[in-house]
Amino acid sequence: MLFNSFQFVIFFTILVVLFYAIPFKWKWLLLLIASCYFYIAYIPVYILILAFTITVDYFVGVFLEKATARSRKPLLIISIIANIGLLFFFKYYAFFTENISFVLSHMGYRTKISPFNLILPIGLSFHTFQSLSYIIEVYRGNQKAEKHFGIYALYVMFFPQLVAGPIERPQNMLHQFYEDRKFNPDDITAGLTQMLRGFFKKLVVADRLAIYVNAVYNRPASHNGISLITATIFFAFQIYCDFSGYSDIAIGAARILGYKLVTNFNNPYLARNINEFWKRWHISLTTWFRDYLYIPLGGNRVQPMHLYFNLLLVFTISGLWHGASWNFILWGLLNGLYLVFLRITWKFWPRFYTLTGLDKLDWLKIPLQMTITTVFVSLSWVFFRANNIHDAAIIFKQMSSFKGHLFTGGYTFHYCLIAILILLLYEIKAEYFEGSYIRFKNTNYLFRSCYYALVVVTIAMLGVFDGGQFIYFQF
Amino acid sequence: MKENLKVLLKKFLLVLFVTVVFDQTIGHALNYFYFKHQPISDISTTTYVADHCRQQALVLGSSRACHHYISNDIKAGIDLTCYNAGADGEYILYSYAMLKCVLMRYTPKVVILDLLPDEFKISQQNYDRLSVLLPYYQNHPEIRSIIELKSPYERAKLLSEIYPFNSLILPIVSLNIHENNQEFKPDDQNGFLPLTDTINIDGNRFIDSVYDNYRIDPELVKAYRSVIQDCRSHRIKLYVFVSPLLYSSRFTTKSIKIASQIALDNKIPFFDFTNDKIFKGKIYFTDFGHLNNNGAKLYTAEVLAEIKATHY
Repeated sequence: MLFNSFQFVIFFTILVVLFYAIPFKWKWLLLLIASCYFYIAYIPVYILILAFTITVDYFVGVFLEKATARSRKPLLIISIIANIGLLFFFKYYAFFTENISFVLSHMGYRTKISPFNLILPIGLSFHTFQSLSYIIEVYRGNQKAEKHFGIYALYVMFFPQLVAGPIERPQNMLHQFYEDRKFNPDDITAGLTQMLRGFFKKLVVADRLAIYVNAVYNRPASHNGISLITATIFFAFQIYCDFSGYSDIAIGAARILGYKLVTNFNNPYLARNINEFWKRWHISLTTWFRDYLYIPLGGNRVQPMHLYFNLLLVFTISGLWHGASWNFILWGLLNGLYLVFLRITWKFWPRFYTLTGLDKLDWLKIPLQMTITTVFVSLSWVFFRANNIHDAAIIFKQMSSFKGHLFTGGYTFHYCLIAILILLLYEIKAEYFEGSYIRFKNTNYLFRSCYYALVVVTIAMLGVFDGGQFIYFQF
Repeated sequence: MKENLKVLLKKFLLVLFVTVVFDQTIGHALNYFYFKHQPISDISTTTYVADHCRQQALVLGSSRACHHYISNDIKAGIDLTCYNAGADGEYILYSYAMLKCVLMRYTPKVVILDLLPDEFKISQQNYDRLSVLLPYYQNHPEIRSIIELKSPYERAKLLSEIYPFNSLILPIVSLNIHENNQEFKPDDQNGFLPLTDTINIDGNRFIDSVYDNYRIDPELVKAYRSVIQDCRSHRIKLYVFVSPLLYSSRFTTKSIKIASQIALDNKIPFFDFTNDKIFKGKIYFTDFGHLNNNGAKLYTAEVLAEIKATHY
């Protein structure tokens, strides 16, 4: 079920009414049933995969807690194999067999490994990582094993974050299911506000930009450099608003029910360097990789060359997490390289600012840093969005060419600019000029009502209502 | 909890009230400016056909209709005033809606319906593109059932006054600013829009069997049948054409087979030009699916010859 569908509005309204009407002891069951319904609205049979991993992880968790030091590791490995194995089977098997066949055929071996044509279960990468974080935390002794099977199932399946995150940690979520969620107008208001923000990002910005981006990126060879550069920048904002819009709706929906999910985005395009960007972008995934991969590999306390290798490794795996294709791997690798470059030149920049006098010109330095970061991030998105490596190469080549079609798409270009402008104004204000004189926090309720109404009306006027799925659903 | 609920409901009702006020005020303003401007754009083609046209012959169809049938040549050929109501990116549902609007006001003598080679292919686009008809939902009850095909929730969405004008704010502003600017008024070609470029791509293209491997949308076939039925009941002479393609087809496509059979059953003249050899030259095309002005001239002459040959 899509968040941006009428079906969801009806489903969620009924759920909220029922949730606050029934006694606390049944709330977990209602949420679990609702989550199952939400999930089976996509491809019903895939709920069996979820049921399998939930059952395995539940029992592994319980046994882990009781296990002796010797048997703990095998239990952890069982869970990792079950989770990663399924992920590999559905998401990566075809990719690896295709590449192995390619390599073997180049070595002169005639081989035919037939790939399975399976549809990737929606949100598999997300709930796999969420399940793994539970098992690892129990293994490390940071989290007690959940004894209530239903509550554990709800931790994995809680519908707002089931298909595209945020990827939760057991320490943040499990205890919330044991606390009674009383009807609280502040939660409802905060949740609705965040959902509204999410719908605005998705319908007004992301889906509008998608029209331009799709038109250009689906036929890159026939467009000129200006169109390709514009589409690349537009895609940077499209993917941000698509994904952070989803996160906002998810966090808002959970908040209406009284649950607090982690923040997933924090104005990433206002980051002043690539390191800061990754602290603001898809925070729940970045911290997952930090805590369960980067730090175990040695973190920052290793020799520089080792550290650079770790950064590249983590970001390459992060790329692979996003999708089974070389595009995503290159996207991850490129971001890893950016970070390595930043590490190497870390001490150089303060001196550069002093030399150029920029250290005294914050009004110039900060926007310059933000723009440069956004440009580099946007260039990496080319790999993410291009239909294949060949298209990505064409896009980079054509970017400096005036040959080809300049695409404006009627008024599409203008709508895109308006959408980005509204977004940037909102985010710059939120980052630098947060006050109570305007917007959602104004104490005058009539003024606030006008603001909410204006957002709704803007969505009705400028939103794209046939935009369809969220990009991150495919992961 | 009761107290909290009361407070929340009060706030919610206030927001709802303000939203309705905004929606009605802005929606009415958009409605006024949308229908106020002169016919100088795609928007006004629909308005013109739905509310104003009086021509005796009408051309209905997609962009291929719009760019392939020269209204003024047709007028000269059959001595009937003619308007080309073809619209970019629109399909049979739009054509049917336009015919219904016209029939509420008058009965044309001739209707030329241009079909795409894959006109009945299942595609969400057929329904998404109905959004151009949303502004007409209020004043044209005869096409409501067609607009409601767009989605099961369309009726609910259309409670909003702004929603019908979704994504139209910029064209509305632009049209009203340029309303009196003669530069923005194209030559009066009665709806026909000539394409001037000539295709510049090497090699020949073929429609192969993969192209025809799609499912048929019964709703679209139903709309086609309804066009035929409405024309028959109003004694309108209907001619169905599938205009030329630069592509060469190795077979008759599924949609064309269905359309021609239905036409035959109803004794409606049906002409398929997709494989006509006269048009297999790049000089006649702007792209693989659209004739340029030279092609349109040649094609319109062929159309007139066919119409005359059917003892018009």
